[in-house]
Amino acid sequence: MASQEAETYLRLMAETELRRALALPKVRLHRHRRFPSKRVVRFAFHRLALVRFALDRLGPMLLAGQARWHVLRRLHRSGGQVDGGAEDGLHRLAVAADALAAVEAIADDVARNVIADQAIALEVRQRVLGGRFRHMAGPAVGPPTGQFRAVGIAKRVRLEVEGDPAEITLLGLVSGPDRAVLTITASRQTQADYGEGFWFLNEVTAVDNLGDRHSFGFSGGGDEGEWTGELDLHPVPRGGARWLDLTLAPGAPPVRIDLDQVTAPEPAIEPLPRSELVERYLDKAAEQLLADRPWPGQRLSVGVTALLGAGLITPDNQAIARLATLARRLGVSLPPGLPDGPDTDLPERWLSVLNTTGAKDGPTGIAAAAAVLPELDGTRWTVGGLRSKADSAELQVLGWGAYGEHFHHRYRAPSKFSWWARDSTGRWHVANQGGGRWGGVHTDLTLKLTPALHPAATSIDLVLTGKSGRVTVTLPLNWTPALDWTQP
Amino acid sequence: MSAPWWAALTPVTTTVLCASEHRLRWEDGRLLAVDHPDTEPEIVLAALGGDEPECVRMVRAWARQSDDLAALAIGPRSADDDFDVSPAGLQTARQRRLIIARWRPSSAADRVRERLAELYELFSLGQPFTFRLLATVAANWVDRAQSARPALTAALNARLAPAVSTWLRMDPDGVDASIYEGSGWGELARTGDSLRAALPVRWIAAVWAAGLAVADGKLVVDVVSVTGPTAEVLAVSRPGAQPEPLTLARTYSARGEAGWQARKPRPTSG
Repeated sequence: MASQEAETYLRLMAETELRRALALPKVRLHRHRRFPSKRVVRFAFHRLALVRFALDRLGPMLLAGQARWHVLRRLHRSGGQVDGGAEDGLHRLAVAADALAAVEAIADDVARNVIADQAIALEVRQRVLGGRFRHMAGPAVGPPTGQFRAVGIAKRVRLEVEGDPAEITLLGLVSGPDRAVLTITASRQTQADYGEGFWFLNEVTAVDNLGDRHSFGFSGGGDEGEWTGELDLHPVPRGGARWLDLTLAPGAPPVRIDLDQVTAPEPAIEPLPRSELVERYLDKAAEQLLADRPWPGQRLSVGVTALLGAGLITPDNQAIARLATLARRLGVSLPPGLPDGPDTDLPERWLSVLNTTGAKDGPTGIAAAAAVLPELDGTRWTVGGLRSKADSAELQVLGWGAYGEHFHHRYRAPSKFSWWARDSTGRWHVANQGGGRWGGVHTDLTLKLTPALHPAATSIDLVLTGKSGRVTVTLPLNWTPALDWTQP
Repeated sequence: MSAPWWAALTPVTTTVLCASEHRLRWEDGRLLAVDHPDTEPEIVLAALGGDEPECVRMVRAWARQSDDLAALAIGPRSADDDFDVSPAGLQTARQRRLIIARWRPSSAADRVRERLAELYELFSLGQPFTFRLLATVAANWVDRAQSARPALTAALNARLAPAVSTWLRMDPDGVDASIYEGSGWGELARTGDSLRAALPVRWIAAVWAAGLAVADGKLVVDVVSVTGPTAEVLAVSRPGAQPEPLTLARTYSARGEAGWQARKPRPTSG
């Protein structure tokens, strides 16, 4: 239930942050003398070439300023010298707005408008660079209507690229009405320059049983040795497509992907009481502590302080006590401003993670884990592959309508969603939403599950919790082992 | 009895490039396209897809923005605010508006961005127009303050805090202002380093926008009447005191900046 007190708190916070910013010097963007370097130009050329064919889809996004945001972010990191003071205040405001919206103390559009207005107020006073957050003034976009499907693949393919052995791991294929994505990892035996070693992925082609030819655009990230990412199919396979023959490199034999697999029925949503939204927000903040050490405590404390300041919780709240207890168990100091509650009982899954932290007994392999989840809180999530290593596992999830997920990633604010998994041996795993890709209505995440999966686990229950409900889906674990580079 | 909210705001004029250099004039609470005496037919033509003269477009934009609370969130907090709509920023706003117009605003997000671009253009008319736009917005919310209390509370805090800082030489963060909806001028009470204030939304439109917030070492809380260059106002000398009548005369600095100066103090009535 939206409250005027919460909105007033946020707007007055914006005013205080603006006054703080005005005490800081104006920002000026100084170009680095050597920017853009030859390497940056080469990398940018590759990336631009990758997305060129998708410009028609990116047009509205460019207009929305999202692309510019990415460019500015890069500038911020690499070339430009930007005073971060005022921007820090903007981030604090954004985290507070997000916290209040997460517990429905203010409407989502109020949160976005306050942030957008503040960004412009700072911009016209030259305290932040232009274009910050303006896209957030737009409303959230829901998933498109139509069929979604997820196909588990779990195939490893060895090929040669320029005489060098390479391995592509095909994890899964996920498709919706406007997009089809093959989730993959790619590695080369010989390390190559950042990005350049995987350029060959843009030459992947496919033909389906209808005779339609498909090209791919690769996006992802990694290091010199391995990249994880997605191959976007163009065009999206038509409804009658039953298989896809994939040519991963010129001259390589095609790899058949069976699209005719039956997508498991969508699991039901278990409704959750809205009266516990504040506690769920606080528990998500604590989960970040479990999953994402070192903890971005200062940032999270802004969200918790907003809940306290708006009168939505009191310092003796049980969820605050859980957060404080967990911090003490982990030896993490709570930032000033957060109440240090007394010790209390922790949930079973937290204790499970605490008791198995550091486990390195995970199986090494990939599993054909695939699922389509029902629309939850305006977002349709799909699972497109699982990879397990000795110390952790990675789950590829792709979302439609996940507005704001990039925001949560950037500002380390608790996401709208919480992901957990329990393997068949009873070991719990918390997901770290550490990496991903965002554009328009699409969100692609690589969820890192820690601690490692139990070596004897035969399935996992993936638990997705949102504002309004919880969804649990069981994914079988039939491991395809890793390839051995030493074998011919 | 109070004067109309625009009484202490002098008319201002600027030029825009229309068919030629045309004048836009703000007076008595309205923006007028002086060189388009009959704008109605041109508005109808524009609505039917015809070319819209720049003057007419700005007048229509003013009307559209005249109750947009974003103007108060973004706009200046005082005459000394670092508020500066740069030519580059204006150019970007215009380009964005043109791009959106070409693509046709199809989504709610586009419409929000178009609205912000339009607001930016109005700010670029200069500080006198910007203050009058903010006054117009505040005046349009006077009778429905209840429905936008958080935004108006923040807008009042934003403008009262620097004024109080000048008046009492205190930290603006110590000002806690709320919207006053009772009869009369409002309330002011100081406790230690903080000041609790309750003032009506009208204060932004009638007092602050006219540059009257602090005059003669007092906080002006309302404008009673304006006759030519003379304004009769109610002003508070210290927190907790009742407001007293004060007569102010409009002055102009050597640079042409308008200000107010006490003409002669009046004895407290009653």
